[in-house]
Amino acid sequence: MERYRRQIQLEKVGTQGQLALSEASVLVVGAGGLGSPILQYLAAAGLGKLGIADADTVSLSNLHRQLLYTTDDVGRPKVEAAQQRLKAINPEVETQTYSEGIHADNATTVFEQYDLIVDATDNFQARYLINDVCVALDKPWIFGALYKNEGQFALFNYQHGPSYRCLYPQPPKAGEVPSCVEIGVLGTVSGIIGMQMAQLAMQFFLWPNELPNTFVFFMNMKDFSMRKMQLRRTFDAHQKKKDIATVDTAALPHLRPQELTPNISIDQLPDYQGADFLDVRELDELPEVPEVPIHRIPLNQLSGRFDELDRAQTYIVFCQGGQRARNAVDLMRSQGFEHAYVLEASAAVLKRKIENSN
Amino acid sequence: MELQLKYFGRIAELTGKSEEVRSAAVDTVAALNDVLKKEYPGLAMASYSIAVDHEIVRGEYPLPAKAEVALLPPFSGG
Repeated sequence: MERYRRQIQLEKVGTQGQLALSEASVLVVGAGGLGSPILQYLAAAGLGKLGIADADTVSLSNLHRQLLYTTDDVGRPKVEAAQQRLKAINPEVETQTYSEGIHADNATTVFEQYDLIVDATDNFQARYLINDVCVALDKPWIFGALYKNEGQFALFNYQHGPSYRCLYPQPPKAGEVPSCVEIGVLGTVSGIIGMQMAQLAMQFFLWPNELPNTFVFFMNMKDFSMRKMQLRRTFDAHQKKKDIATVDTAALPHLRPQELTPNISIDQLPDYQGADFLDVRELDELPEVPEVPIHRIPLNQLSGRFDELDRAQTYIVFCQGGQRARNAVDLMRSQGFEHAYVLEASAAVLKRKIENSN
Repeated sequence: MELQLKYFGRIAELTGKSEEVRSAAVDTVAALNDVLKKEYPGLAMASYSIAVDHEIVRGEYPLPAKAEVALLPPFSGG
């Protein structure tokens, strides 16, 4: 107990509070910019069991905000690196990893094993899946998300409180809301929102009768302001259970293991000689890749411009971070473009590759 | 009616400002929303919720005088 002395001595924690933490289980979905601080602090505080779900590997561009990982971890599966680091932080914490991430086929079984679910993902497919499964299981969950210097967070579905669909009943259109991979983020911003989510998780077990379960918080890190908006339960559980019954797993491609996404690596390009490139970045994004036959249609215009493309043609789709290309390929395949592939490389890498081969 | 408008996230980029005070002859959130969409066409393509005096509300909610109205888009990043 020496490890936890400074939090046990805090008023209203005590050994009872520490005992509550040590018996608690939390599943963190997404071990990235938000998940990283959440996992670190919950492990240090002596949570009983932490689940870590993520299908990604550590990349160099993660390290400025994902302080759970070190330079030596680049290329390793996140769940493996995270588990090792959390054990070093606190060997008393039990950890369980889910290297496929959370998807429509495993969410219910996994969620049932935890007291609290934390959504630290970066996409709406995952967020609505987490929401709907939690509502079906009557499981509380903590939400958090970022946009540039702003963040949102909330505790949802707790003691008949509202859920994410009471705030946003339906997902936005594909490509409407960009992610951190596409627009960038300061490590301090994801850290601050992650810490707010971790604080909610701590209080969930320490002070379960004093929780802000009917509010959603909006923080602006640049002007250091926070607003607390009251939210009512407008989607009833019965309605949501019906929605869940109709969740189409094929419409949730990002929740499946990544290898199922039709993609090709930069080294496979010579096998696709007749293919056209499709750049789905915004028109002013650099670098330009002008030396090859190329279509340039920003993702948010793609659905209105399919008539400029040929369904029999092979398209290799790219952007900056890969998320928009994946969204574009999902959209194209749903519209009959059977030969659309995500290029697993950024525009800059493609440009260098072409220049080097000329 | 004088209203204090607050724009968050991408909505602030679509309107070019994070807040403004505006007089509008409207008495519901839905009517105000129509006025704003004419002024800022980008809003028609955007998803957002609306809070009146720090409470999330839906379309026909009546607007009190001098209300603070916030346009709150969903965020994706993590």
